[in-house]
This record gives sequence, C-alpha cells and structure tokens, in this order.
Amino acid sequence: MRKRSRTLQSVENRWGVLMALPAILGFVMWNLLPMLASLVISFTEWSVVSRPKFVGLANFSRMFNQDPLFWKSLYVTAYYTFLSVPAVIIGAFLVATLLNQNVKGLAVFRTIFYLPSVVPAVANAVLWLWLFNPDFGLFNTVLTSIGFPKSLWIYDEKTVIPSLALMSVWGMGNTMIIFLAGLQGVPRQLYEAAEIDGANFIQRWLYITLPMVSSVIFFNLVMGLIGTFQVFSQAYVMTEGGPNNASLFMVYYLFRNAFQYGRMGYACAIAWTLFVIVLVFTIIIFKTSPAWVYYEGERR
Amino acid sequence: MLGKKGSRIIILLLATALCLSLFAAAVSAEKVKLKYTYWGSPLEKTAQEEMLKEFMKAYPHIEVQPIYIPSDYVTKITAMLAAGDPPDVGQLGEGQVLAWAEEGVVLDITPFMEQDPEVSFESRLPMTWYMYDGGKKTVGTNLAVEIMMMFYNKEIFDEAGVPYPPAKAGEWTWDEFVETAIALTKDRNGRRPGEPGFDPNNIDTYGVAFGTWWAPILPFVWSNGGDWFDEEGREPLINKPESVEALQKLNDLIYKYHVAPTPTQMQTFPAFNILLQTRKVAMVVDGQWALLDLAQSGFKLGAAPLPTLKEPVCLELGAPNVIFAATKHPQEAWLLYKWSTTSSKVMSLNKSGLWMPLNIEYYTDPEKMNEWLTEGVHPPEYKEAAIDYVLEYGRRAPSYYMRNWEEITSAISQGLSNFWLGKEDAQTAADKVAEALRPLLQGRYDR
Repeated sequence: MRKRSRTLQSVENRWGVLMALPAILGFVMWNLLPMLASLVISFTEWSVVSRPKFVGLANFSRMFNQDPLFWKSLYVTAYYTFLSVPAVIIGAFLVATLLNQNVKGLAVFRTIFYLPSVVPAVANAVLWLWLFNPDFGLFNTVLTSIGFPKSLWIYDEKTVIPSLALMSVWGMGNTMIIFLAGLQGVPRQLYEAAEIDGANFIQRWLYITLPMVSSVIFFNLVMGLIGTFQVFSQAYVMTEGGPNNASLFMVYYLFRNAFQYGRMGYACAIAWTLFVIVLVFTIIIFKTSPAWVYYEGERR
Repeated sequence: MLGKKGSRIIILLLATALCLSLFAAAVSAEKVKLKYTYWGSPLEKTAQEEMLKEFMKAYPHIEVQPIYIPSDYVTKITAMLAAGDPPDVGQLGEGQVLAWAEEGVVLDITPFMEQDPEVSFESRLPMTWYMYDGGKKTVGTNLAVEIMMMFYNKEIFDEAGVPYPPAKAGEWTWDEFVETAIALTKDRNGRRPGEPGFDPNNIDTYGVAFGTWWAPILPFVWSNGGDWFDEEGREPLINKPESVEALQKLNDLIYKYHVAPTPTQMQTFPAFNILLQTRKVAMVVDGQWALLDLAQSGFKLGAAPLPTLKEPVCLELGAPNVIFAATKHPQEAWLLYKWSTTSSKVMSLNKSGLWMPLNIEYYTDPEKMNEWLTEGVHPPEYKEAAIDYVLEYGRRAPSYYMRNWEEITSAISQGLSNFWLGKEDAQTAADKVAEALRPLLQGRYDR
C-alpha cells in the first residue's frame, strides 16, 4: 500500500514537472539566460556588431563618476515613482471604495473606470499629448476658464514629471480591480458587529477596511513600484526624454544607449543598477511589512 | 478507385515533378543570392523593388532578396548581424555607419573603385562621401542627395502682394526674409504683426515654420559664421557669438516677430505640406525630400534657397548605402551596390521629388538635368533654388564625419529645448549645451 502510493506520488511528481516544463523552459530560456547574459555583458564594452571587450567595472565606474545623465535619469525615475505610486494607490483605493457601494449602474461605472487600462500605451500617450497641449489642450482650456494661468505641462522641465504622474493615475484600472476584490473579501459580519457597537463610517473604514485590505495595499505597492521604475513609453512617445532631459527615465536612457548609441555593455550596466535599486526597495517594503500588513489567521 | 494505369500516371507525374524540382534546385544553387535591406516610404519601397528587378534582369545569375524594414531599422540590422545572418548590401543610419566601418562590419569600397572606373570620387557630388580611417577609406556615398531648403505657397504671396523670394542663393538677406514673413503673417482679424491690435495668440497664417531639430537650424548658424563645434570636432562653438546670434534670430521669428509657430503649437499641427496647402503657413524650412508630398498637395508651389545671414550655405545630408563585410559574394555585392547608387537606375525616385541624384552630371549637364526634373513636381525655380544652391554652396552635414553623432544631436536638442520654448535666452542655453558637448566631442572619423 505504502509502496504503491509512493509510486503514485513519484508518477504525479514526474507528470507535474513535465506539465510545468514549458513554463520552466520558457523562464530559463527567455528570462534567466538573457538576464545572466546581460550581467556578463555589463562588464564589457560591446556595440553588438563588434567583439565584446572585457572592461571589468569600467561601465559602472563611468556611470557613477562621469555620467551626469545617469544621475539625472535616476533622479527623474525616482521622482516619478514617488509621485505616481502613492497617487495611483490612493486614487485606485478611493475609486474601488466607491465602486464597492451599492449604486445603480455599478457595472457601467466599473467598466468606465477600467477602460483606460485597455487602451494601448501609445494610443494613451497620443491622447494625453492633446490634453496636455499648452495652446489647444483641454487642461489649459479648463484652467483659463476658471481664471488660473496656463501651464506648459509636459513641455516644462518642472511640470513634466507631475504631469506624467497625473497621467499614470488615469491608467489605474488594474490596481483598482485588485482593491475591489480585496474590499469584497472583507467579511460583512465585521462591519455588522462594529455597527452594533456604534462605530461610525470613518471608524469602520479605519479599523476594519484598512487593516483587512492592507495585504492588498502591500501587493499593489510592490507591483506598482516595480512597474513605475521601468516607465518607458511616455518618454519614448511623448517627450523624448525632454525638455532638457527632465523626463529621461532610466529605461529610456538605457534604451538609447543600447540601440541608438551602440553601447550595449553600458546599457546592461544601467539595467542591472536599476534591478538592484528595485530589489532594495522591494526588500525594504517586505521587511517593514509585518509592522503594517495584517493577514487573517496570522499568529501574533 | 484509380486503376493500375491511373496510379502509374500519378507515379510518372510525381517522378517528373521530383526531377524538375531537383533541376530547379541545381539551377538556383548556381545563382548567387544577396540580401538587400532598406527603409523608406511605400513609394521608396516600390521604386527600390523595381530597381532590384531591373538589376536581376541585367545580371541573371544574381538573385536579390529585398528586405524592407520601415521602422527600428538599426535594431533589426543589429539583430541580423548578431545572429550571424547579415545583409549583403543595404542602407545604414548616419549615426552608425562609420563606427561600424571602423569595427570592420561595413566594407571599405576603395579597393572596388580602383578596379571599376564607373564609380569614382569625381563621378558623384563631392560632399556625399562617408570617409573614415583618417580620410583614406570610404564606405561610399548617400543613397540620395538631400538638402535643407525653403518651400512656399505662391498663392499666399500673390494674395498678399508680396514678391516671391529670390531663387538665387545669397540674394535673400535675413532682414528681407523677416519682412517677407511679417508681410505674410496674419491674425484672425487680418492684422499683420506690428500693426495695432495684432493678436499673437490667434494667428491664422504664419509667415514661416521650421523644425527645431539640428538640420533646419544648423545652416543658419553656418550662414552666420558659427558652428556647433570646431573644424576638428573637439571644441564646442555653439556658445560663440556668431552661433548664439543665429539661434537668437531664429528664436525671434517665434517670440519677437510672431511670424512662426511655437514648438508646442507645431506638436498639434499636421505635416508641412498640409500646413502650406491649408494656408496655415506660407513658407516652410524643410528637407528637399518634402517635395514628393508637396508636389501632390494641389497648390502653386515655390522653392527657394535658405535666406542668408552672412554667407550663403547649403546643408547637404543623406543616409548611406553600404556593403556589409560579412557578404560571401563581394563582387556581386559590389555590382548591386553600384547599381543601387547609380542615379539612372533609380530615376523614378529622382523624378518624384523624393531624391536628388548622386551623379554629378545630373547637376551640370542640362540634358541630364531634364532627365529628372519633372513638370508638376519640380517648380520652375528649382534649378536655381536647389541644383545651383547645392552645387555652389553645398556643405556636408557633420553626420558625415563626427564621432558620437547621435549623442551630440541629443545633447543639442535637449539643451536647446527650453530656449525654443521661449523660457531661456540663447547664450544661457548655448553655454549649457557647450558644457554637455565637451565630453562627447571626440573628433572626426576622417581626420
């Protein structure tokens, strides 16, 4: 009996591995190997068409010591991330809370708020180019009609990043859906019990909703951070990194190095620096999470 | 069911087919196969395909596979090279070609030229050669000659009673140009700049429009005696008085005289040919290639050389065609290279207005000139405004020789962006650009 179950288990194991093999192979071939290759390339000087030349840490030393544009791109990317991620999370959470109410036409509202996420990134960018246009754009028309001065939006060094962060809030659909699922998973009886005890709306939200969805916030925070650090298409389509390199995001800068300036080695070095930065931030969030994330059934 | 006879026929047919296909394979094995890569508009695609067909007719033993790459060209060529499957002949970006030549990815064609008198330095426009290795080697010339020039809508001039600009280079001074632009600009109420009540925020027709990337700007800087950098390509000159003055004069067109749209307005504008056609703009500074679209836009088109600040100058530019070093058939590749860069073989593109010919006789010999100048495409002033202009005052763009060209252009356009938005004066912006340029100026490929 025991022997048979062991064989059954090993058969299952074998099949399990076999079934997962496409995914494993795919990961190894298309993710892991290229990543390792890029790590090796980051220690070389390589224009793809030439023979790679091993240069040790020269790419990294150039990046940190001699390249003001790298620091600019790091600053710009971090600035964008610290504006965009909280804005998206707060915005998505608020909208998800509203969409969790029992109102007429709920499905329509949910569709409308999710719709921007379905729009392709480039179409999205072109649309916002028009909204942001200082001369004919909707935003400036609204601003002037209520008596505010016009803004140059993405054409001004100072406002380009806040403008792009504003635009990112529009694409919060996916984050919002996850929040909505989290909100719907909060047990009703907790609210009912709190209500009987006389808790008002704010208290219920603060002491029940927030702790119960803190794990969802945690998830969205990590995913949002990883996603925004890799922001690219806005710079590529809308601003070309400008004005005056004020939207020179790291991924856009590494793209330029790799495919326009023929510096694949340097581009890989930037990519790995970005990877380490994202990793550090993710670790920080994970390490601090026990202090503010609540899991049901967790032993304290 | 098939009878015995039927199946025998089938077997016979199959055997014949097999023999034929083997035979075909044997024949095509003798054929030399070349890959030719290129980019461009749909029109260029058709013309290039025709050119290749003619080539294969002339050389039946060569079979050319055209590979059309309309976008991300360098990325794809890079991938082909990295995968060990490079093209034999093809176009290449100005920013890559000489770096690749130094790496040995692209062939030096001087050995072929020594053997073949049909291609010589004298046979093509002198500024079109991409030289490297201290000027001793060359990858060849542009695929087509292009210059920066002025196009205008004659109907707007006629209505405003403004004389057309002179077609001869050097006769149109900057001040006259500004006057012309003012006389053509008109706000919603029909007022001109300078008239009382002129509303610069609601302009119906602009006198002139120009892009703010390097090619429309540099000829004016040159014309004023300035430059982006010195002759050796080591010291920035963009912040020297001559350069700054030229930049400021261009900027004044937008913010002082209000005769040109701002860069943010340009973002919302359609292509230049539509702007001229719809009378949003009376004159445009653009590449000669724009003629293709302009000629089909249905208005009375005029052409002129760029106005002169101090000296007349004509900026010449164009992406090269090259032979890739990995080709297994250098002789056949040379034949294809020669064919693709011989003006008579791509005459349809020259006639359409998109390209200017490479071979010098098309600029000097009136009979040859008539082979490509086309009524309804090339306006009557074109001979003086473009042909004489490039022949007399043509100067190669720095893309022909500067190292780090892509980074240099990016540093210039980023550094001047606030200036073109009217938020910075020319000197401040140019000083910043000069600082950013310093580490990038690593000299020239041909020195």
